[in-house]
Amino acid sequence: MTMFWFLSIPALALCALWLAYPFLRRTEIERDETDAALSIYRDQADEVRRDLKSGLISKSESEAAQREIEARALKAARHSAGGMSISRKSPVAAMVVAGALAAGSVAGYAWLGTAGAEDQPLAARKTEALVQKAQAGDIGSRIQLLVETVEKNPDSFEDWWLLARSYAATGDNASAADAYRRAAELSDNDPGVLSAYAEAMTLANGNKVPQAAKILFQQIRAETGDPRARYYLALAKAQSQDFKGALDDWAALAADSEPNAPWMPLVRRDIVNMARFTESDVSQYLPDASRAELNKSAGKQTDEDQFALLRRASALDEKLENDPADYKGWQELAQIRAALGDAEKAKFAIESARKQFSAAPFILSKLDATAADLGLDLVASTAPRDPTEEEIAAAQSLSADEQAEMIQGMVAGLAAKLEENPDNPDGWVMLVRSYSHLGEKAKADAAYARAQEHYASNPDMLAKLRENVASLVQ
Amino acid sequence: MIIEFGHFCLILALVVAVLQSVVPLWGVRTDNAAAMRFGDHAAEIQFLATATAFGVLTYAYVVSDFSVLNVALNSHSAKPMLYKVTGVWANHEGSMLLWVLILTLFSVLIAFFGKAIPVSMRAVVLAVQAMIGVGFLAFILLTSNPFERIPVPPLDGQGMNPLLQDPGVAFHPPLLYLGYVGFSTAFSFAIAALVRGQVDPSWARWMRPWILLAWSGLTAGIALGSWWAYYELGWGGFWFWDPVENASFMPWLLGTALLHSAIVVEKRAALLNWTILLAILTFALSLIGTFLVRSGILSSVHAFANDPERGVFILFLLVLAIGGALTLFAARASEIREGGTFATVSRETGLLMNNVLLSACTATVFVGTLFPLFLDIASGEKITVGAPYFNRTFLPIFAGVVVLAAIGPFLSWKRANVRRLRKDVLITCMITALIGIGLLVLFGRPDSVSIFGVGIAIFLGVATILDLARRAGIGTTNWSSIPRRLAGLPLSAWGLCLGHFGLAVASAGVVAASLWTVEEIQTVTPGNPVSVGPYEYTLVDVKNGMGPNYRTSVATVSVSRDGNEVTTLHPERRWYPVEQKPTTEAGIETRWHGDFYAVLGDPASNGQFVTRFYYNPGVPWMWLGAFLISISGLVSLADRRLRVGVPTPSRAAAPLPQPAE
Amino acid sequence: MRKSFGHLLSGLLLTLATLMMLSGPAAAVDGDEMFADPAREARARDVGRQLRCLVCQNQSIFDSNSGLAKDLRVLVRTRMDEGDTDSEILSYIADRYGDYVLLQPRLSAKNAVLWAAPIVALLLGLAMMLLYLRSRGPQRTEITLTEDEREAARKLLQEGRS
Repeated sequence: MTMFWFLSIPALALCALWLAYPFLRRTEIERDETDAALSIYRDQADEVRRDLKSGLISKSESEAAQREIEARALKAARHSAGGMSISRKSPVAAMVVAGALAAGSVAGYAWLGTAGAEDQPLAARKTEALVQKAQAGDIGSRIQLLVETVEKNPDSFEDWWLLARSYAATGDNASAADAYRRAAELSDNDPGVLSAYAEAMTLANGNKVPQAAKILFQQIRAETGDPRARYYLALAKAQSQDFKGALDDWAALAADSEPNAPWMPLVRRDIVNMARFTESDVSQYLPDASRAELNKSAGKQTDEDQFALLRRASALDEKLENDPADYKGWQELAQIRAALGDAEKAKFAIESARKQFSAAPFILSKLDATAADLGLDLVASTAPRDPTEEEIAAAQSLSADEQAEMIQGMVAGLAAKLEENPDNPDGWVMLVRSYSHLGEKAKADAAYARAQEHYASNPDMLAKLRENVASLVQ
Repeated sequence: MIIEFGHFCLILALVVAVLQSVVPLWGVRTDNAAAMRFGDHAAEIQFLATATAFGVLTYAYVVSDFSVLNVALNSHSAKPMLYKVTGVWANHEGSMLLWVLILTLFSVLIAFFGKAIPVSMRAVVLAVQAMIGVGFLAFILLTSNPFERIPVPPLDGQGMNPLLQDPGVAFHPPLLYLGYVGFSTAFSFAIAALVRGQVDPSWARWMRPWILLAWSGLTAGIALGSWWAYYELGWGGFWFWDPVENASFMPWLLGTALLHSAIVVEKRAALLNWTILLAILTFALSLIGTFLVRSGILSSVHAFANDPERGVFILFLLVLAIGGALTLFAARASEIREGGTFATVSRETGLLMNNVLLSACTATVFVGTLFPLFLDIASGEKITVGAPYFNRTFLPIFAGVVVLAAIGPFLSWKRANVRRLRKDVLITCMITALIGIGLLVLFGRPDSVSIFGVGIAIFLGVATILDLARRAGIGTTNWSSIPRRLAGLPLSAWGLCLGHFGLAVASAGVVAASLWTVEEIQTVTPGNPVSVGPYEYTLVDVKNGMGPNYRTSVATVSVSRDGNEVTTLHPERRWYPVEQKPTTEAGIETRWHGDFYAVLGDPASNGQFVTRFYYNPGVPWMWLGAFLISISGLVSLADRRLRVGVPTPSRAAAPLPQPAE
Repeated sequence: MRKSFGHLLSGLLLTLATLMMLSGPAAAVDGDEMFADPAREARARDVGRQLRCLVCQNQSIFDSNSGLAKDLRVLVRTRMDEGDTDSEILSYIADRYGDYVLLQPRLSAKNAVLWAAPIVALLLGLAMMLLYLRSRGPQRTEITLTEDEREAARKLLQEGRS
């Protein structure tokens, strides 16, 4: 605000001075305008002479024209006003002019302006924008903010730790591992931090425990008996084909832990899966195994169940043949195949789905979760992996058919995302449009209905939706 | 702080404009030299303040300051820098600010380069300029303030119509306004003449450079707008008789008339009242154009009625300016005495005839543009006045203008030699007929419309060249003196030749383009050729790609004739995700005889595409003609004699054999 | 992962956008609505150029992309198939859609002003010109100056030069 007046008042003063300047001195102006008129007649006389020379006009024409010009020149000279307009120095007039300018513009600005309003160029508002988004729960913005923070202050354990956890939350385990490593250094190799670091390394490695992580886990286990270290060391055993050893270690971990410890579901799941693979009795390792767990580990169902499952599987096969964009169908198929004890086919279902949705990372992560849940990652080699830049570039130069296929995958991805987080009006509009342009009228209508349902209490949003897509749906 | 400073400057400009419209007039009345001089100083400050405000708004666009409502509504951070800058005037508020900026620019130029104009006259001219400025600055500040702020700015802006994200249309408004607003000077000079009761040759000469500048700008602006429509809207047309186009065309027509009648004032001190009236009406049409475009009344009378604030304000300014000026004219016209006399057959009469025809043209466009509006207001009935109407009414009258442009320069001033005129016209007709027969033999288009249309264009071209040849003395003096004679011609004579020749070229182009365009629309499979007149167009392929803020499909179309490759075209379809709008970019290749023009449409099934292929003969001639016409104004402007006041440079008393200009 | 996800998402949006763009505004005339016979097609266009696209600014239906324009084009072709003459087609459509669709307004009483204006303006201008040329009375083209006056004038004209 003060800066504004610092700029405006001197500018105003300069303007006022320049406006008042004519009144601050004696001014004399010649009233005579004859010269200007005569110069025109002179030019006209020249032109007549030139036209005569080039034969454009005859001698008599030239004479007549010449005479008219002379008559006008005489007339102009006779009517000359002559004399001078003079004005004396007049401080009063100068003051009036300057005062009127100052009063007028200051009053006008006071009425219309907002002197306190600061400039807000976008570059300066980047942080503000990020903070706003981060507060609204956007983890990407939070990460950007934290990255800026640690760049400015690279020695804060807290910030590195938060950054690492944020990365981990988004599934970017490689970046999380880097941040954890830095945090571990700053915490003087605190075992808890190191353990998180080793876990991130493992996750970044496609849930395969790398050698470095293994060494860290061993060290941590020796120091603190950290359950996480114990879990991953057992996993490492399983991955090096020591199924029995893994099973024993997990069983020991389960026995040492509180039944409701946060890692217990994971441990129990792996014990059950591992028991199924090694065809051993799960109750030996998990004395309190539930009935479902027992069934699952046995890989058996009643004949009736099995028949129903087989029927469902072949129905799904057929359905997915026609509509491969149904990722839930693929998930279910993999689950049924695994339940039927056919790990290979389950793995194949997941891989087919992965291929289908190679351009929809959100669905890929869902599929990976299913695979891990079924223990398929223990037997299969489907490391979770981001599509690379080259793949994206490659996708952009696909043929029309391939592109259409990819678009269908993307649309399905969008639909899945909206199911997870329906508060995304642009997403809904995009989805309805996409379906209707793909010619899937029913799906478009259904999507529109769902969006309307979601925004039922928000008339503004409803209006916006209607405006954007009403022409596409009934 | 910077933004607010811009706002402050705009308010300052308004206060200065108020002072500038009062103090100099008081000075003239009381014969106070300082108060008259005050006009110059005020014009400088007013321009500086407006330019600062404009610069600040541009800055807000460049740095994407979305706390400015205008920026938030019309820009987007992802826009390329060029369109951030041109986006300043691609919206209502910004374009009005540009309007005022150009108005004050003309004022300051008059204050600066008009030193030859007597101070008492300049004072009145600047005061009138400032009155217009007061009206429009108040309009901006009260109804369309570009500096309105938002307390909580959005994270990004709403973008800009992608049709306008194009270099052609980006520079169209500044040029157009140079003309539109530039005619305010004619208005101010006319009012000054009425106020001082003095209309004489010097008045016409003082006014002339400003009209020339405005007229050249308007010509270029209209041509640029038409060119943009030609390649961006993608159906091969260039002029649609749309009300918005007509709004800029009317001041051009009348401005052209004014340009010619001002010559008569300068030469003969005749047509004084008529010229003053023309000057007032030309600017009135500029104001009406501004009103039509800015009030939104064109898109719908009802939209205007629902949100009348802006429209009513401009309407009020319009009535005030035109009404006031015409009242003054009615009161003072009888005091103005006609000066020199001239014979009925003379250059003067030719120019008068030119004025009559151009005024009739203007009246036709005026009625055609406004009649539907009046009918809608009066009876609620809706009709359309489109191209077929103007083709039947405007074109015949304008054909008269073209013919007159050919004959006019043959007429001598004051009293033309009828026998020689007859001879000149006869020679022109003969040469025209020869060329015409040659063309008929070559191309064979024996329909009457073509013969007539092309005929008058050739007639004008031939006449203009003959006129130049005569001035150069071809046939009357020996050949060696011709270059010296040509170099000795005043620039305004060159301006005449260029302008009229440009009109001939443009007319030929328009006739060719409207009569002989070949258009083929079809769904094609890439690789299959399509016949377009004598040419074969083949869609080779379509590739997808990315632009800075759009996604695009670019087609490759090869053009061949009798199996020989002629050229390759690249029409595009773009999609702007922020604004959710598509645009088409026609693929155009220009040759001396015409344009190859291709538009890419929808993909159809099985890899086919809808395409529109054109061969547009004559279209490049039209742009060339418009360019020549626009340049002709600048050439005339450069004439030494217009740099008046500058006391005539001294030269040897003995007359030179060939007086240098 | 977050980064490439964002990248992919924007890619997705752009791809969808392209998809929509391509099927968005249809090209003005599409191949399948056209007549095979070039002469008939030319006639259809001549008629079409007299009709206004209702939702555009002064574009004819043959120059417009809107769906409404297409409907009208198809209507023109249908009427041609039924053997209507050009003017029958125009009045058939004007009767249904109002005079608004005619780019060239009809010659009727209410449009009299419109059609008369150009002629009236031209005639009025010519009449005023003739009046002006006559009103100047007898042509006094010779200006008489005494030799002294001429000498003074020449001096005036010569003065500024040196």
